[in-house]
Amino acid sequence: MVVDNDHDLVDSLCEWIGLSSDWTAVPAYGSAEAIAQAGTSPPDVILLDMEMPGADGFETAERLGHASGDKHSAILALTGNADLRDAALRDPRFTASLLKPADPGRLLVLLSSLVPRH
Amino acid sequence: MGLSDFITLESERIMAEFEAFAMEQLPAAADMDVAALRDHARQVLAAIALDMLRPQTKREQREKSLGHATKAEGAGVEAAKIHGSMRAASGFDVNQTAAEYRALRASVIRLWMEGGPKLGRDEVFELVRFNEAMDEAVAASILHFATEAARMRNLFLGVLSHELRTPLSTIMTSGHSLLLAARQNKPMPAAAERLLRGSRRIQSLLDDLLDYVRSGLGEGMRVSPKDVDMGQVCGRIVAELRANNPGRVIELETLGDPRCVCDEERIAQAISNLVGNALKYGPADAPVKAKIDGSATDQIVVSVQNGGPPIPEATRESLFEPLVRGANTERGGYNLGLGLYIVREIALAHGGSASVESDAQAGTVFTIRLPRTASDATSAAFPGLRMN
Repeated sequence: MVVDNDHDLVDSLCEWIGLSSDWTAVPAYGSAEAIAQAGTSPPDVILLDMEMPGADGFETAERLGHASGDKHSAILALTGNADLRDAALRDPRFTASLLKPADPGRLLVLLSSLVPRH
Repeated sequence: MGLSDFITLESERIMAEFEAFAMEQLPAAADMDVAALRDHARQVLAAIALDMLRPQTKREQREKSLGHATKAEGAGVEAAKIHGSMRAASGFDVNQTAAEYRALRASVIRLWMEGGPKLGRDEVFELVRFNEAMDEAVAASILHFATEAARMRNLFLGVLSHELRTPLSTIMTSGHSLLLAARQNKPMPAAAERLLRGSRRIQSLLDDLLDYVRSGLGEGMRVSPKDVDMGQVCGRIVAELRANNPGRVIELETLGDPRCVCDEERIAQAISNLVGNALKYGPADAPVKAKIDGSATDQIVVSVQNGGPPIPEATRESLFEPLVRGANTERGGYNLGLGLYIVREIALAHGGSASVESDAQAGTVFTIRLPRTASDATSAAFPGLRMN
C-alpha cells in the first residue's frame, strides 16, 4: 500500500511497482483512508509519507500497526524531510526509512526483501 | 530631574517623538500597527529605566563597557531579546532594527536636554548608565534578530527541500516507468502527464523563489505595463482554474470599465495566486467569488472572496510577509508561503496595494487596488513606482 496525500506520487509509485514486479500496489491518498484499508485487507508492506496534512506520521504508523493486526505489515517511511527520515530510522515502528526521491530500482530491491514469498 | 525619572515620567512624550521618527525612517514600520511599534519600544525603554536604577559595581561597569556579560542581565536585555526576535519575524531588516534604538536614544536625550537639566557628576553618570544600557539592548536585540533570521531561513530551506522532493519523486518514478514501458512497447500517457505536472510544479516553486530573492534584495519587482483588459485577464485565469478544479464553483463579476495599464503577466500571476488560495483555504462546497470593480476613474480594484473561517486579526497582517503559510493546509497543495508576498510585491510595483478583510459573515476577501494608469499612480500615495 502506498500512502501519500500527493495523488501523482501515489499513482506513479503504484504504477511503477505494478509494472516492474508481480506485486499489487494499492493507493491510499490520506491517513484515514490508509487506516481503513489496512483494517479490511492488511498489506505486506506500507510505504508511508510522514507529512500528510492533519496527520502525524508516527501516530499514523502506530494506528496502521494496530489496524493490520496479526499481519504485522512492514512500514516504510518515505519523506521529503531529512529530520523525519532520521527520526523514523530510530523508531521501532518503522522497518526502514527513505528520503524522497527514493530511487525506484533500490525501492524494488528493498521491497523484495520485505514482501514474503507466497 | 534625573534621567531615569525623566524616562519614567515623560514616557508619553518620548514615545510620540520616537513614533514620528520611526514612521519616517523605517519603511517596514509603515505596514506595522502603530500600537505594536510603540508597545515594544515602551517596554524596552521602561526596562532600561529600571536597569539604570539598579546599583552597579565598578567591576560590573567595566565588564559591561567591554561587552562582557554580567552575571545578572538587566530587564533591558530581556526586553531587547524579545524585540530582536519579533522584528526579524515581522519583516524588518537589521538596519531598521538597530535604527529603532538610535531613534529611541535620540528622542530620550533630546527631550531631556530640552528641559535644561543641571549637568553635574550624577547626571553625567546617569547618562553613561543610560548609554550602556542602550548599547547592551542593541547588542542583545541584534543577536536575537540574527538567531531568529537564521532559524527562519533553516525552516524555509526545509520546506523548500520538502516541496521540491515530492514532485521530484514523481518525476523519477514516472521516468523509470516510461522507460520500462517503452521497452515493452506500451504507451503510458498518464505517466508522462504526471511527469510534466511534477516538472511544472518545480518550475513554479523556483519562479516564486526567484521573485522572492530579487524583491528581497531591495530592487522590488520589475513590471512592464501596457494596455490591458482586466476582464479578459481574469476570465482566462478563472477558466484555467475551473478546468483544474472540477466540482468547484468560481464566479466572476465585472463592474464598470475593466481597462487599465499594467503588466499583464504579473497581474495574472497575482490574481491566480489569490483565486488559487481561495480554492485551497475556502470550504470545498462554497463558491469563490472574484470581482473586478472598475467604477472609479483613477483605479481598478480586483477582489477575491472565499467562505472560509475568519482569519484572526492578529495573523492577518503577517499573511503578506514572506514564508508565512496559512493554517488550513487540509487539502495539501504546495506552497513556500510566498504566494501572498508576491501578490503584494506585484501590487506595490504598480503603485497599488494589497489587503485582506476577514469575518464570519463575509468570509475572507483579498483585494488588490491598482492605479488605472501610471499617471494615476504618481498622483496617488505610492511614490515608489518601479518600471522597466
